[in-house]
Amino acid sequence: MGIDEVLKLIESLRDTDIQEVEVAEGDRKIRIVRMTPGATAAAVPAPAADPHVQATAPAAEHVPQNDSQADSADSTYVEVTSPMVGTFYRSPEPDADPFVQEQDRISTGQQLCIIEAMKLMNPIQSELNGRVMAILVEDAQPVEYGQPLFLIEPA
Amino acid sequence: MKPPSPSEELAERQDLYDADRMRSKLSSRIFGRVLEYHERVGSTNDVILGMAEQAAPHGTVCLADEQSAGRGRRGYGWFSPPGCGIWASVLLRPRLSAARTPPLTLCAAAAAARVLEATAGENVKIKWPNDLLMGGRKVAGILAESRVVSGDDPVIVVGMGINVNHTREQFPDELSASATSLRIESGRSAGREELFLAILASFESAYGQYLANGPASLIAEVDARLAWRGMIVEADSPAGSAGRVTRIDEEGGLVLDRKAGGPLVIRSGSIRLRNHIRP
Repeated sequence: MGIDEVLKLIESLRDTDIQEVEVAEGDRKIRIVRMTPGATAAAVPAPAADPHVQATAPAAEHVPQNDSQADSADSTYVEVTSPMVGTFYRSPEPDADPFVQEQDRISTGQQLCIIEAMKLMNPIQSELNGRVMAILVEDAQPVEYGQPLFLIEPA
Repeated sequence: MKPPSPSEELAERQDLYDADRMRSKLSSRIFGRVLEYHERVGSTNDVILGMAEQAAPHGTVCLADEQSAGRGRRGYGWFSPPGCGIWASVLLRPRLSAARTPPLTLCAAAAAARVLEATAGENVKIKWPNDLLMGGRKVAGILAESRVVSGDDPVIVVGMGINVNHTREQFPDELSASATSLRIESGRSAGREELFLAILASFESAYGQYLANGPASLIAEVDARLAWRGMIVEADSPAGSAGRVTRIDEEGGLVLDRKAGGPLVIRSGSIRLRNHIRP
């Protein structure tokens, strides 16, 4: 299953209540799980379950016992989702370089984008080391709560 | 409006901030109890973000007489010359979910509007979500930024730029049609310290109300001050959307009425008047 198919699968699950799905293809398997990250824990609950999503493929027990495949780039992807309704900005200013590009290596805490809502600028930072596999939203486009923004391959 | 007399000119030049005097006159309980004053900074938001990294407490305030790089939205500057404005930022550690933080912009806007209106005796409108208008021109703006610092919950810095004692001639040409000051609108200059302290107290009160009671009364207040109601505006997010300004919704979004497609709620970006020619 290639990255395009993973993206399609994630997209098709976006507006559903499905918490977890697993698709098998030969000896490879992809599992997508909605999860609540601890990093944004707050005293006041969010209006809905936090739909941060993590995608993994293949599941650990199905990793082929082969070094080259075990290291293969598409073994695990993590989605970064929007914590709020707002506008997605890839750069600090209109003419500035983007915070990240596809294929960039990123580290924990590194800024990926800004989500602006009511003139509150929210930097979205990576919660893991890894590589940007896909940027899922165009610059300056509105995003919904929980909408996937980036697909990250953990380092 | 008549030009200021020589004695008013002198009074204006003497309207200098004194940090110790301000500290002794604070009426807010938390906001401004840690008060950092600078004659000149790049941006008060940047100073506060730096202080947040050093564990500055909730309610820490930075005030400057002049900003060399005052920030507006997305790379736009905020004209912040010395001697005539209030350029200040407040550090908040609100422990709110990210989805509940955007109305803090409205909190600050409403709080400043109350004080400016009481001082000037003139209506102050809120151009959703963050600009204060007097006589149809911008007298103040709010810009909030969130930041994750050293593993804590995100902090929020609320920056305010308030044009107090500018004369018309002080604004650069590109702002002369869109910007104004309290002095231009009311015909008299105002003491910046008193205004600043009153705005801090007002913001602290509005913030406390929002945390304790939710957004309903805040939304009602902003809605009552809503600028451009009934006028057709264009929004930049989603790009190209347009409609007639009707009201603020229960989460603080701006509801536009459209000829086709029903109401549209704007939650980010800016609006501008369509086909509007300024005098």
